[in-house]
Amino acid sequence: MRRWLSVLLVALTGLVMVADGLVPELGLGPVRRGLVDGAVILSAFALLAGVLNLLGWHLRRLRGGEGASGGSILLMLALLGTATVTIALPESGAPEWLYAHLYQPIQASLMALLAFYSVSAAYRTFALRTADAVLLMISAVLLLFLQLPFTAALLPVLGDIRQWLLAAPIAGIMRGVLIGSALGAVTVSLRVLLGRERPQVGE
Amino acid sequence: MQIACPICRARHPEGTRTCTVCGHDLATLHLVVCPICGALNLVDDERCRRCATPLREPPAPLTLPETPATGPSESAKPTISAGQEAAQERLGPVPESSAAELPLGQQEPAIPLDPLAGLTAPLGLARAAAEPHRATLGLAREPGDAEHYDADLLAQIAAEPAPLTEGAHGVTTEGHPALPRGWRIALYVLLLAAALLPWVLPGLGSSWIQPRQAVVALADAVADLPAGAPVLLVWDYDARYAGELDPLATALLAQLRERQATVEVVAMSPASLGQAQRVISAGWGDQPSGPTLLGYIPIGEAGWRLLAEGAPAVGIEPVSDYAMVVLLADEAAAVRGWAEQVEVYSGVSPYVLVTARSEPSLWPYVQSGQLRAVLGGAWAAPEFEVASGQHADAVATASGYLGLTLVIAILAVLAMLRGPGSGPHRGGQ
Amino acid sequence: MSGWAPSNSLLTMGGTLVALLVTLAVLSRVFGENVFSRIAQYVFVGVAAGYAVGLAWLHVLWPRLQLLLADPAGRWPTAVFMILGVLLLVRGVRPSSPLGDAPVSILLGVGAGLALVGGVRGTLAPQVVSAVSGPQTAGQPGWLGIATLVTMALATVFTLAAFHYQRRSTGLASYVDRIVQELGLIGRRLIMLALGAALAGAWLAFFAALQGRVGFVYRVIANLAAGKGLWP
Repeated sequence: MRRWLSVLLVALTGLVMVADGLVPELGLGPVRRGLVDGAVILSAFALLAGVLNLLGWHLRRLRGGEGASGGSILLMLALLGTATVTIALPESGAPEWLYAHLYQPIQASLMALLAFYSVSAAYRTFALRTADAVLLMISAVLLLFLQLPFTAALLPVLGDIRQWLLAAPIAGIMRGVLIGSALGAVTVSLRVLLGRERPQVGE
Repeated sequence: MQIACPICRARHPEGTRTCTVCGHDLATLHLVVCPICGALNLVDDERCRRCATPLREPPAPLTLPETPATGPSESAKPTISAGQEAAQERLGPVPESSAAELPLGQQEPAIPLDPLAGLTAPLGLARAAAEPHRATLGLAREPGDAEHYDADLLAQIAAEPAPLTEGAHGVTTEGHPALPRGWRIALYVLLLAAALLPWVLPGLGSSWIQPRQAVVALADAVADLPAGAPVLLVWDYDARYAGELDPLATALLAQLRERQATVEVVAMSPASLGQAQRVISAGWGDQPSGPTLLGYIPIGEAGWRLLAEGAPAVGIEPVSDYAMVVLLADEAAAVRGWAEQVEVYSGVSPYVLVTARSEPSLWPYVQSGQLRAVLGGAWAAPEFEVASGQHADAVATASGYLGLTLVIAILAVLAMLRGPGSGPHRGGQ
Repeated sequence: MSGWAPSNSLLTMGGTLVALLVTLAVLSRVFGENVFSRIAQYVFVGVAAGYAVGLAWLHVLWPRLQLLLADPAGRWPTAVFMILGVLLLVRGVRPSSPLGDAPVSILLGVGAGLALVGGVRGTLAPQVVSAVSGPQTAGQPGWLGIATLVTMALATVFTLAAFHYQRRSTGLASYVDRIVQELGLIGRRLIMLALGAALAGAWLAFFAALQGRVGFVYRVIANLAAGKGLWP
């Protein structure tokens, strides 16, 4: 019963979206607008639910006395502190301070680490010396060089080559990938709307 | 009864709170293992999806009293579990005397049980029943790992929706030669030196920077904006790509400020809003004429669709009301969201400033006219500064990319010279 | 090299110090897992989640709640979705709770419906039309225009062939299947070429991030060495 109600609700809301998207003359615009705004509200609640789950997990971890509980305390303090400051003191400059001096440097530094790891990973791949690996390497090194802002000044024809490579073969390949992935996305959407995939009840 | 982790499928005794294999919180969500066939079931399932064994009540073995001497031998005391009971129910009616039909409250019947009662005469089995025989009903055995595996496989095929991962390939580093430690350190140091190069020699090679056509077109479009023209910046990158996209965003904002454009910014994630605030604050300070931050819309199809038609009640106007729209995004998926949910309904083709990583995959949208242009942050930032007559951060730091190209070239040569079979490679990262 | 306008010197200096410490803590991960990088990661997850909660409240829920309170009768759909949202919160505590089914179903239905129409109207149709009509080759010499058209068309066809999966077939279908499989082999090589372009872009992005952080550390140390104090 629970499963079928969910499937029905998915199909119904999806049908409104599809019908309005394909035949706008049906006059479903107001319903669709209401559902879209509702989905935005639910997305915000989904984010809150995710954070509640995160908090719950760390609370249980603390209660269970499993290792690295110091990290859990730190995380919960940072979470509750930031949320409180952002909601209670939005105009104080404190949220911006937290973003600029904690959030931004840590996230950017985590990304910076990938510069090192990507070099190691690229070596692992290139050193295989298979046809695919060599092709990937030639393409990556060539495009890296061609994409530099200095390349066209070195030799004007290099700029033309870059433009042609991106606009003809690479755009063609990417179009194939795009069409393939769009077909996949449409298929998944159809399966969800028809009730063949039921992630809402954990299936 | 056993339970199973929904993530890694590891089995645990009932009551286990955390999966010992993957750490998943089993107290919140777990699957129930059928004690008979081993299939995985949802917590709410009353019966096993494969063998119909009731899952709610504990499947305690129902031990029947001894049969008379004329019956099967001592070892043949039948032990019928609730699962076998259910299986019997599915197979059809059983003799009246069968224990399978006894209510649970009457597990110790007063009348001795004869499994052949009522059947011997019509089937002519009296003689066979009177003779000792070897066919006995053994005690129910706990299923082993192999049975569990088979049961899982069958349950998946029978009960679960087909996953869309057929034909997918797993990627492992098995057999991939690692970078030797010494070389790795040397390359890391070179990479660090390349990153520091612009700070030691600022502006190196800046006279060689030549803006490409798309960059000049964007600079010209901004230059042609009348004073006060409304411009919408849709901000969808966070601190991860700040190093690449901040200089381009800063240069664009500087030119928009020069044109006295009325800039409004809407972010598509919380971190994007923080990043937008940071860049705007660096360029404008606290001046009241600075861009207006409209807020953040949760991303996803619904978020993009809301942006397409606007939500005036919460201060977001339809995108078609703006003289120019620029989308700053870190992922190709976000730009695709625009093409599928915004451009289709509003007809607005934005300029897209995106990471160099995502740029190639967006070219088809440029060719189909859905996007006005796609500029990769790494190369477009210095080129835009040159095209718009600014010479700031991006021009000064562009030489670092020359250093990176050199490091990658060394890496490629090294990989070609030291492929598999040319010496010991393992032991590195 | 722009930075934050130091509106409040103490806060900015304190912030610069914090940013320097967490940057070094995370980058120390390159030498291997250590306690400093782990602390930074825990703090990051906490701050990121707290910040997201704060902004979701401030920019999405609070404005709509205000509208609802001002006009409850006219804004009843908002009230319905707010109630559904509260039910969704139950999933944050008990993911298997049936109370969260309705809001998740609506989210899924809206998302899948929009994705379905958007995928067809926003990607499939325009890309197929563009592939059939060919790219803009105006301004290119005749031979280059033809080369561009042919290259693009072949690249798209080969790549699509690489995505092709078919059950075992007989007769004419098996010949077609075999041809498509051969084309798919070329398509897979071509995808490698495109992945190379994406890899080059990824190197640039990662390097730009590294350059940004290294530049920050360099500037702070240079300012300190010059006796200017803790400024970015």
